[in-house]
Amino acid sequence: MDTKHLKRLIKLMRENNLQELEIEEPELKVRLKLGLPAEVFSLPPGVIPPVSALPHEDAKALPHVEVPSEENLFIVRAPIVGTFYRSPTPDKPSFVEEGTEVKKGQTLCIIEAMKLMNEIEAPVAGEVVSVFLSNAEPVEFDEPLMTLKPKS
Amino acid sequence: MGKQGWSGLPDIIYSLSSGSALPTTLIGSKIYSFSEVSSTNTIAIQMAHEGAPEGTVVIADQQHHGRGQRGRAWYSPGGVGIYMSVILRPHLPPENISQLTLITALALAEAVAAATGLKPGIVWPNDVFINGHKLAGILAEAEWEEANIRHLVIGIGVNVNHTREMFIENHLPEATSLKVESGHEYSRAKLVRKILLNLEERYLEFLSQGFEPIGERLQELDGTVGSWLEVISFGNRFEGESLGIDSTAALLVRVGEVVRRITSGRIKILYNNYHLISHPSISKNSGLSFL
Repeated sequence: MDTKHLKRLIKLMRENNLQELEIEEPELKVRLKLGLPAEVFSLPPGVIPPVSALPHEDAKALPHVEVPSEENLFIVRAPIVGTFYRSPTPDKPSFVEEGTEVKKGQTLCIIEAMKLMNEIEAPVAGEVVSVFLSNAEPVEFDEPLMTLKPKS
Repeated sequence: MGKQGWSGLPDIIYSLSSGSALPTTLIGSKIYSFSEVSSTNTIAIQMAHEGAPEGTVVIADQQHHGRGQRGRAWYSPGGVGIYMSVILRPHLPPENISQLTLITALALAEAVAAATGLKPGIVWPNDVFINGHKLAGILAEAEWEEANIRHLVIGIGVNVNHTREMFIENHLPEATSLKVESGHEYSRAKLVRKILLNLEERYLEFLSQGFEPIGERLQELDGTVGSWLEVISFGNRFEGESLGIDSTAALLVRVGEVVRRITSGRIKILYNNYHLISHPSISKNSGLSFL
């Protein structure tokens, strides 16, 4: 089964709002689950998996959050897929809390991918209104992380 | 920006600041060397904020607060190790940026192999090991402004001439150095040159050809294949057998009959091939920490 085929299956699942899909063929069994942090392939024992893999955007989970539609809120989104961290290190306080006043360029959170620590900066000065994720949660590409109320 | 040069320079600094130019065109085009710093990454990030160009290198003989992953410390005594940070400003799709941690690990492992004849392996995503012990680590930190990367700082720490006693006294039984492994001391300056040259070659190759050719070479040096791993990813913990790094830089782990593709989180080798063969009863708690 090639990547294109898998992409088609994922598209099909999205369109039909399916969380899980299992397909059994003589040589290969495939189980796909959306909303999981890592793609899951099911293989017969002894079979080495194909080294091709899905690009991240195709494995995108359904969004975790509903962003309030209040006007003038700035939505901070994830530029990459990874693990969301609210603090620089486990023993330190969160970069920001709901209600924190931030300057433009101030670090809001970290997204880790392949041990690359990506600091996400405040795109505008303002107040943190909502933080949608908790520590160590997976984030998907373009997923809303926080909302900011820009300083007028 | 920091000062450049001092009197009574350690060999590594002297050689880099006064010796012949590096055989690179990008990485190391500017080198700022220090005898002591808090952390080369901290200084490089500050320089990046101030507009330091891509390829700028910060190197120190000693770090007082050498940093590792998620707040862990990196043991950085003077006179024996390599502690340096490189500023990059890659123009790449966001999903490819994190592959740079593996590319750095590959450049590092290849440089060590070429300079010493030892056979280091890579433990996904960015550690370099020899004989089951940690030789070198990487701390990569990026800053993003909305969907754009502002800069990426890659910190590299290599244990070169440390003695075994130094690791024991500092409660680092999992660490090793080139000296411990080979019985020889090595010139840090020569190693730095080799690492920067390799990193430049691999980085430019990655920018022009993508990850695939590099991925094939990485698989040859993959130090986890066949090992039994503990994986902590997105707050979940599970165990499984490493099937190695795939062509996109993710780690494949077989959990029962399912293969999981790991792109974030950390792994720990609980048993490797050697231990399985010679010590089938090895306790799980004696697993090496590769975090």
